[in-house]
Order: sequence, then structure tokens, then C-alpha cells
Amino acid sequence: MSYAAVIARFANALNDGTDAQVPVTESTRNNLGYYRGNVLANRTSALVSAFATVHALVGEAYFEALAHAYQRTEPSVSGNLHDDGATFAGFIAGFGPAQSLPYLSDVARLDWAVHHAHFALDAPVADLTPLQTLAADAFGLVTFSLQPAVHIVRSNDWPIHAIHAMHHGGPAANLDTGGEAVLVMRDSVAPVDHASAVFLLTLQHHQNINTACDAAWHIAPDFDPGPALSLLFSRGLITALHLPS
Amino acid sequence: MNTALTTLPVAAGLGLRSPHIQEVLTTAPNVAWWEVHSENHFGGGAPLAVLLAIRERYPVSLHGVGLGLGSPGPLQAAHLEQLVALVDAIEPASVSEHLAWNRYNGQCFNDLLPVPRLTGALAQLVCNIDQLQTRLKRAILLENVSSYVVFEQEEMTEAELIAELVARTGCGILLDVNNLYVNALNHGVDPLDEIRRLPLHAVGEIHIAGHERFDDVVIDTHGAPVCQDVWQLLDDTLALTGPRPVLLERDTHIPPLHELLEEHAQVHTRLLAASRPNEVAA
Repeated sequence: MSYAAVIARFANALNDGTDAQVPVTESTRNNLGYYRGNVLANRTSALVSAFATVHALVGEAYFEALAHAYQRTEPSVSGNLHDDGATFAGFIAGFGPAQSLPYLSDVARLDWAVHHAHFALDAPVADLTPLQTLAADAFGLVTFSLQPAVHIVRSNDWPIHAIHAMHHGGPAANLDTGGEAVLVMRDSVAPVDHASAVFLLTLQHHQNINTACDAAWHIAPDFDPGPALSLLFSRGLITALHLPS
Repeated sequence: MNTALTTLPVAAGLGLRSPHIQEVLTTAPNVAWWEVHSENHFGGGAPLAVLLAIRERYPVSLHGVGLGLGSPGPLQAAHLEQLVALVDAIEPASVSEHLAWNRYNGQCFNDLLPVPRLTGALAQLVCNIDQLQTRLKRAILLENVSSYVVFEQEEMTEAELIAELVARTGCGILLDVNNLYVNALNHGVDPLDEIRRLPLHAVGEIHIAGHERFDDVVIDTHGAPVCQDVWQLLDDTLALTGPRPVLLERDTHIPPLHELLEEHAQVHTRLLAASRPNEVAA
């Protein structure tokens, strides 16, 4: 049998336990189970570290069951374990046994954003001085590129920032306070109101400031872009400016 | 030793794991060089910044665990490009990967899976190692792995395969004596016979680590101190190869740094002994 054919059988056995099909000696066939266990444990351990809040919320045994169910559905696609879990939040949303914890999927989205932000590429901060000489009507036409580490995560129903903070040394979260939005930056998070979140998301999609304000005013007619813009400026979150021609 | 393969100092290095990084930066312990898992420092942010800070003070070896050189088909482009970016940023003294596979049909299996030494393996490995070395513009060191299974009708030993790969790709060897020892316990492979089959001039680095026994199989967990037999095998290996950069690895059950430094000091002592082969031990 060729090397490629044996690898195919080994891979199948890791997925479905068809160990008898793998041409290994009888005395070592049982050890295929160690590889199956290692793969499962390696991914589970990576998920524990990427989804620290979810892990803290549900505990070791529940998380392990969740991670194993996820792995049965979602094959790993990267040799880098830090890439594993991009679809975990979506999986949780559709996972029957997790329906009693309706906030878990939104918390997982925040965990993933924090994890991604930790490893995201570095990018130089843009020089913002050209903004100072811009006429007021031209300012609204400016678009930005934001740091690769920046994520804006919104939950319509759950206080995800409070839940995240609770598991990072903060006070107990009250689940009845409604949805929260979070600006995720490199190794830090900041709660933002929903209108600011929509404003920032629109800017992140390279729409101009006027368009982003319109989207935010749709949510909160009294939205003031000042605080959100000064957050972007003061935290060095802008990597490029695109001025109107 | 072929210095085109590695510029690591011929001295004792230590595996650098995240719980110890800040302490190492603060206390600057007397370690000749550090090795990290490449994937833990892909991208930017703190993982890259701390490694750059380490690199300012010490030689660094980048040791990959996720490229899966023995997988059928080409390397994962994104993984390869992230490694290239890290190598450009760190300018490591050595870049290494394992003689293992981890992908089939678009799916990844995140472990170091043993390559069946059957028809087709050599050609695929040559192709992937060539691709990696061409992209990195440097030679890599290839590490032998521990295996818990024995494939039927294999055409060569692992050392014979590695010798062919060295001849065909110009790669070097990262000789893991603990992995050979684990294979000896599990499958009766004679470690020194295997080492004698290798082109020893190409050995650019040696690994030692601890292992653990589970029921009827010994697993290379890197989760325990190095045992006496592996220390002896290191001495025997160094007698064959001459002094080489030697790394102490610990990946699980990670003890406080001072404990690892004590074990690391033993590597240093043994390297000194190996560089004075004509002296009789007291």
C-alpha cells in the first residue's frame, strides 16, 4: 500500500474509529487511540485558552463536552491551534444542550474577538495631522482603516461586557440589564453604546464618517460621534486615512 | 557540524514557554539560547514583542509544530507565509520542523503524526522541504519523532529516511534522543543503531526531554524530568556526534523556572564532558 493510501486510512480512523483498516502491526493497533485522544485533547486545550469566559461560565466538564461535540462537527483546518474556534460561537448558538444558556454564543463571539486581537498583526498608527486642516464638510467624507486587532462585538440581549469583566476580576454581572456592545482592542476591551458600536463598525467597513453617523443616528438620534472618534484617535486604532479628493 | 544549517551556540539551550517569558526577561538567566514553538509567535502583538525582546539578548531557535511536512499535497500557504514573516522578524539561529504529517483532504489533525515509510513518502517530503527551504531561503533542521504505531511493510527505518532527505534537500537534523528512546521502549528500535545510520555532520541540534508511561505505551509528553537512561543516551550520542547545541524541552506539567534551570545545568555539564573526550571522569 502506498504512503498516501495509508495516510488516508489513518485520517479516516482518527475521524471514525475504523482502526482495523490502518495497516499497522496488531500489537500497536490499539495505540491509534492515543493519537485520536491527542488530537481531541490538543484542540480542546486550545479552545479552553481561546474561550476563557465560556470555560469559566460552564466549567470544565461542560466545556469539554461542548468542545468534543464541536470537533465532531467542525474539522480543524489549520496547523496552528491558535486559529481553531473561528466557528465555535455559531456552533454554540445551534447546540441543543446549550439553549439553557442563551448568552453563551454571544460571550463566545467576544472571547474569539479578544483571542484574535491578541495575535493580530501589528500595523503602524496613521499620522492624523492632515485632519486638522480639513474643512468641516470634507471631514465627513473621510474614511479610515482600523488596526487589525480592532473588533466590535454586539449582543442585542445580553450584557456581554459585564459577563466578560466578571470573569476577569470584575463584579457579578446582572443578566437583566440588556444587550451590550464592546470595542475589542489589543489586550483590552471597552464597553460602548450600541450607536457608537454601529458607528465604529461602519467605519471599519471603510464607509465615510457621514455614512457612519447616519447609521448611528438610526439607532440613537442624539448620537454624538465625538467620544467614539476620540477613542479611535487616542488609542492609536487608525492605520490609514483616506481624504476626499 | 555544518554551520550552514544552524548558528546556534554549541551549548545548552532551554525551551521557552509562556509562563516563564516575563521572568526570563526580568532576570536574564544564564542560558546559551532559547527555543520557542514558532506558531505561538505568529502574527503581532505581545507574542511577537516578547520574542523580539528575548532575541535582543539571546540566540533563538524557531521550532515549528504545525507545518506537517509529511502531509500529502503542498504546504498550507497561510501557515508558511506566517512562518516566513516570523523568521524575517526574529532572524533565528535555527529553524526546525518535525518529520510528521497533520493534514489530509483539507482537514487538519493537530498532532505530530508518524509518516508511513512507504512508496511516495520520500518524494512528498522532498517536495515539501524544498518548498519550505526555498521560501525561507535557508536550510531547516528536521526532527525525528516518537511513534506509537508500527506500519506494516515499511521500506526503511526513520534514520534511513532522514539520511535520504538530508542528501536530497540539504536539510539538517534535529536529533531528539528522547524520541528515539521512546521508540526503543515501545518498538524495540535500537537508538544507537539508528543514530549510526544518520549523516552525523548534518546533526545541528539535539533535543532531550522527559516522557511518561500510560498503561502499555510510553508517550513523549515532555511532561517529566529527563530520566537516567536518556541522560546516558545523550552522553552516548554526543560521543558519536561531538559537541552539539543541546536543548532541554518541557511542554506540560511546566515547573518553576529555577527547577528547569537546574536540569538545564546538567546539560551544560554533559556537554563540557563531551568536549573533553580524553579525560577520564573522576
